[in-house]
Amino acid sequence: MVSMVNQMDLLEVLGDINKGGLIMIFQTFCNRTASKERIDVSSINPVPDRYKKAVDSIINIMKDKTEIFNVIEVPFVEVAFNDQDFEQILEDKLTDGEIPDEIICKLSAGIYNKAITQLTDSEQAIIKVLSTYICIQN
Amino acid sequence: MNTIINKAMIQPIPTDRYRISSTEVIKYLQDQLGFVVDYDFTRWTGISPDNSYIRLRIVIAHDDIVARNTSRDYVDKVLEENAAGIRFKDNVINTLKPFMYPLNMQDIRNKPEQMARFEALGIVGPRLDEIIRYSKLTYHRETNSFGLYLRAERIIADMLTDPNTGVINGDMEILGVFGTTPETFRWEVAVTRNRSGASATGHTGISLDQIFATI
Repeated sequence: MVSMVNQMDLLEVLGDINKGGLIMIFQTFCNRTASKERIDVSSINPVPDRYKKAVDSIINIMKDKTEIFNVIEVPFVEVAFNDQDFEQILEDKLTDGEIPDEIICKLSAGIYNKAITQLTDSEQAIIKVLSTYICIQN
Repeated sequence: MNTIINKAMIQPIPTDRYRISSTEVIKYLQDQLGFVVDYDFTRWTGISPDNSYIRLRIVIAHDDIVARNTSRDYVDKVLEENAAGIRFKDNVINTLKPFMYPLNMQDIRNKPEQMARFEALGIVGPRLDEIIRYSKLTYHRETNSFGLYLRAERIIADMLTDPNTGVINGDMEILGVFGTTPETFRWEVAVTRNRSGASATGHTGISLDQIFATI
């Protein structure tokens, strides 16, 4: 499993946010926060029960916003990265520190109606950040 | 857990209170849509100042809501009277839909309980007429835009929804609306967190309803 988050970039983002309380345009936030590595996974298994409700909710919130990620803010996601020591939380919550492939695949299909491998880099960045957000919160 | 300070040690009901301004409501709406809308708020007083309703009107530019392959001529020629039949952008309609009045809004007059609530809030006569009329997207030729009334209370409910569950963490109630100008209008909202109710079972282990039904 590839690293979900580019730590160096994230530290820069956190610095900005902490100083000015700045919330970024969502696509910009995701581009800066996510790693640049391509995700290449597939899964036909269902999303683990623990994450199912959150995944469905996030898809419902985001599926009609794909064309406006470059103009809107999504504060609840950014604040989760900002407010919490999310790396420690992820380490405590996740098996081997890995985000389940099923979350990534379900989000990709639900939000973009495409497999994760078919997404552009910007679209993958959105999925990486949302997958991480769900694991931080659950 | 907080220390309870009352003689009977009655447990308080955990409640979150919010004060949400008209500015926050419209910013949230525009963030959901991804474009700016023209809007205004008007406060309608009901049977008392404590029973008021805030009407929200928005105007959406043609290009923000109509799918690109629908020409301006088509809109002008065929659909001046209303918006029926126009091909709108799905994502915009899907975003607006939860905040719109019901499509069968005109049937409300046949529902006494809901009418009583509306009357208490001052939504009667011409006010109700205009809500019914503009509960659907209505095309305005001169400005090439669409007018629509939205339910601010539904926008607020969406604002308070937990993104991890898709529901509000409790029962939401609008306690009142305040302010005298559109810029100062605000909603006082309470979300009472769910908790289990008192036991309805006596020491016999049998439901009290069962016992009293047989006495």
